[in-house]
Amino acid sequence: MRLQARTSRHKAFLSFEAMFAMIPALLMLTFALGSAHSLSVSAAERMDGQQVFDKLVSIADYAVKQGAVRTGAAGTDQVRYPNWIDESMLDGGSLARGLRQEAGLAELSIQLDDPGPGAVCVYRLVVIGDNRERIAKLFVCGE
Amino acid sequence: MQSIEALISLMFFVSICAYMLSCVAEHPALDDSLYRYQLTNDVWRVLYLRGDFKGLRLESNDPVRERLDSDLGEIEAQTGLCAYLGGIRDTSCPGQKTLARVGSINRIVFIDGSPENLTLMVGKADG
Repeated sequence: MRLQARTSRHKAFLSFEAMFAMIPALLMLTFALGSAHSLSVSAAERMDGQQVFDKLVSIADYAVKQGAVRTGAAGTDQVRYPNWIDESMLDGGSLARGLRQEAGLAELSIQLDDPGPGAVCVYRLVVIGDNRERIAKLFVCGE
Repeated sequence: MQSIEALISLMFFVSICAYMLSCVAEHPALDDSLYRYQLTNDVWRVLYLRGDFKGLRLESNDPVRERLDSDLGEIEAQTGLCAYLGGIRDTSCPGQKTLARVGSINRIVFIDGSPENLTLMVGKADG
């Protein structure tokens, strides 16, 4: 009888010990899961930002090399002048509209005017004017 | 013995926590290496389109050099980018000591009538 009582008391202590041991383990697990979640969220945000930036860089490169450049006839082939921007190609925003759909961006603008703070933008150095008289920045902004 | 075990476990846990927190706190900047190279090339291309290398001479009072200096100054004013032309030792920001490197490219240009290798280095003032 006495032995049985001692055994059951011993079992109770063991259960208490196991319970107290589980608390830090659970806390650690919660912390690890929380950290993993915040890590994956921040990694996703970074990747999204990098993706948008890369798209803007590609679009800007296309614009200054082909999409919005001056062209002229040299012999039979039409030649392009990279970084010499034809301002009329930017009017109306048709270039930006077409590229926005292709790139899968929610918004896109290609302009020579400074868009101001707030927008995610890249710029490229270009020349404008019939005699390349002005150095300007071509802004490509989007999200 | 149990205290030592607990201490080792605690140290292990704390080191994992520190590592995880450092991973969360770290926000590596965007990878813009291609963009920086494109900007460097833009500086070159703009100077070329403006005719700044046509008939270039080493004399500092050469009108072509003056036009080149003026365009480098204009680029610096608009973008904050400092350009240094290695072959002719020309720069848009002579007083600037520390620059964050943007990029550099090599091109062959006729200087004083003979082809010379010219290095264009572009940097941005810190801060």
